[in-house]
Amino acid sequence: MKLLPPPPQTTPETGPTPRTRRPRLGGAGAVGAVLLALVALVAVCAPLLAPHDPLAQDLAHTNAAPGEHGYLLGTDQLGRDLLSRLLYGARTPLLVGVVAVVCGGAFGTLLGLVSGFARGWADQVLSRLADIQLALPSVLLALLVLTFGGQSTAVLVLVIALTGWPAYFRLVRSRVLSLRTMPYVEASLTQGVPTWRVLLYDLLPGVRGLVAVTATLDLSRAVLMEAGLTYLGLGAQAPAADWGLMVAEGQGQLLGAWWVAVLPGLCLVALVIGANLLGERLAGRRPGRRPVRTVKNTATANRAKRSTTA
Amino acid sequence: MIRFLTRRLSLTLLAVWGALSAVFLVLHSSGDPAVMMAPIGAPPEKVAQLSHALGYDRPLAEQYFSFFGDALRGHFPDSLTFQQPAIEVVLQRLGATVLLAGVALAAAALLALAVGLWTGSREGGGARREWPMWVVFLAQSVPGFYIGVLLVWIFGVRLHWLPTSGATTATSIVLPAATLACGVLPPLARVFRNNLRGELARPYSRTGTALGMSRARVVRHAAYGSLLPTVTVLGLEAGALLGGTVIVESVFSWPGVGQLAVTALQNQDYPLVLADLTFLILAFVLVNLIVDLLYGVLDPRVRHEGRGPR
Repeated sequence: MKLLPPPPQTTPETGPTPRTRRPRLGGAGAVGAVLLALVALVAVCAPLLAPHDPLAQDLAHTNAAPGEHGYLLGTDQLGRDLLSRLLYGARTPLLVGVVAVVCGGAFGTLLGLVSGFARGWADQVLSRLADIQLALPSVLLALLVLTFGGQSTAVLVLVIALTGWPAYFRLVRSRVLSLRTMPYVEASLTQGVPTWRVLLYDLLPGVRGLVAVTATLDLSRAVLMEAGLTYLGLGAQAPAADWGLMVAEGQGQLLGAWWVAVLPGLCLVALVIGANLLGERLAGRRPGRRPVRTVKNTATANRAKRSTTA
Repeated sequence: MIRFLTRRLSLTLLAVWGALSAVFLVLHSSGDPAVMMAPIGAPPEKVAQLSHALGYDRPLAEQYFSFFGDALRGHFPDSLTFQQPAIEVVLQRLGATVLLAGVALAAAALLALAVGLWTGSREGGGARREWPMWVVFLAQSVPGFYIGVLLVWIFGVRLHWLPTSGATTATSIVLPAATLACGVLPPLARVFRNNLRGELARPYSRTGTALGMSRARVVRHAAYGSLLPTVTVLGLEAGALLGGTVIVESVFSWPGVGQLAVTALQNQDYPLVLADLTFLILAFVLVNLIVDLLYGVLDPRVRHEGRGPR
């Protein structure tokens, strides 16, 4: 008969925690960080790196195969240099993704702080709002808003941020609920420190790591959503260079020129995998839910560390 | 049970209220909706006539209340391209979407069970046991439309194995369903696997092993226990599925409600878009309610929430 496996460090009753939920990715976090940095670098330096104007058409050489006529990755249906378009195409997904994550994250964190600190009716109202938001399908809501509220990048960012805030709100709120009872917070309150200072200097630092991890994973959601909506024709418009749009435009040429659709998609995948790898790694190493360091908790953490290294 | 029902029903009502309010807000955000509901290039007096006929010239507060009744009864302005009540067009297309979503969900659930049992039933095992989780991770990082485009390219354009557009033959459903399933699989597989791990670490599993039960039997009991959280995620994924159908149906020209919304958008048939999306959002809220109620039936602990120790 086999020996029993050692009991896991997390209690099964509390459900999956970030540590057990993630597949083991090894040193993959670094790969994720490199991928993200690469995409950011390309987006910033596109004008320096691109060999051609991403909008310049060469109608004599449409759908050129990679390497033909001096085009490293070939050309699309209008003879535009694919490499240049791929480089410039990093800009919109990354910009929309990052701005949406920052907006949604800031909004959700702020409301979470207020909700967890104030409790009472304000907490009730905000929590129900988050429930409602989570109960609505995000892509359909985005379609609706973009159809009837106008199609612009600002609306796109706003709607992606809007569908993302409840995630931050819930995590921050539950964390603040427990942080609030900590002696140092109570000390501040009894000394008459103004509420905004308590929120800003006592509670915000406690949720910073949690928010950072959530934001990294949220970036992949935001980029996927931007790409999907752009594919449907609700994001960047032709002739702009945007990866989602390029896949949509290239879909008709799969028979003769597969590279036009397949390569931009690969770039998208690289960006999303980068964000996911890094996010999971961060969540695994610093599972934001770790309680504030006390003597007892430090001892438990050290024991856990010893048993995992052993 | 009553307590659980009232709590769940009130959340559903709140979600319906939130959804319809959002639709109303978006619809009226850019002035008179009749401008969008009228055919393209209609003279101003025609628009004013339509505005009056649809009641858009009444006070906003009055419209707000009548909108709820209209939306819940399926009263929307007539579709411009089909020249019939928009909701009828939507209902005609509903069957195809339900079929696609059902097949995709069943495939994803089966795959998730297989992946979960393979990777979750044993501790450790390294890459030889963990590789399906990497595939799941990859599926999570690839945009749905790009999976679709890749499948079209490989199985349609290159190999000529499967039809890539429309719903003409019985095999037409394979590629869209596979694409859709890829979107739902990752959360399902993860939740099932992690819960299986958790259940296997609980005392009853250890007791089973100690009593000399075969490993397969212990895993079977643990698997039953892990099915409940998986059902919840299944319900949550109904939203991703509805959002996903919009994109997947457009990639494969599958004649369902999702593709209807996108083509209506391209034809500027805004009444149809409105009816379609409102219908889908309400359907999503309802599906979630049903899944939650089902969860209550499956797990007695949920019914007796807040009463006594768990």
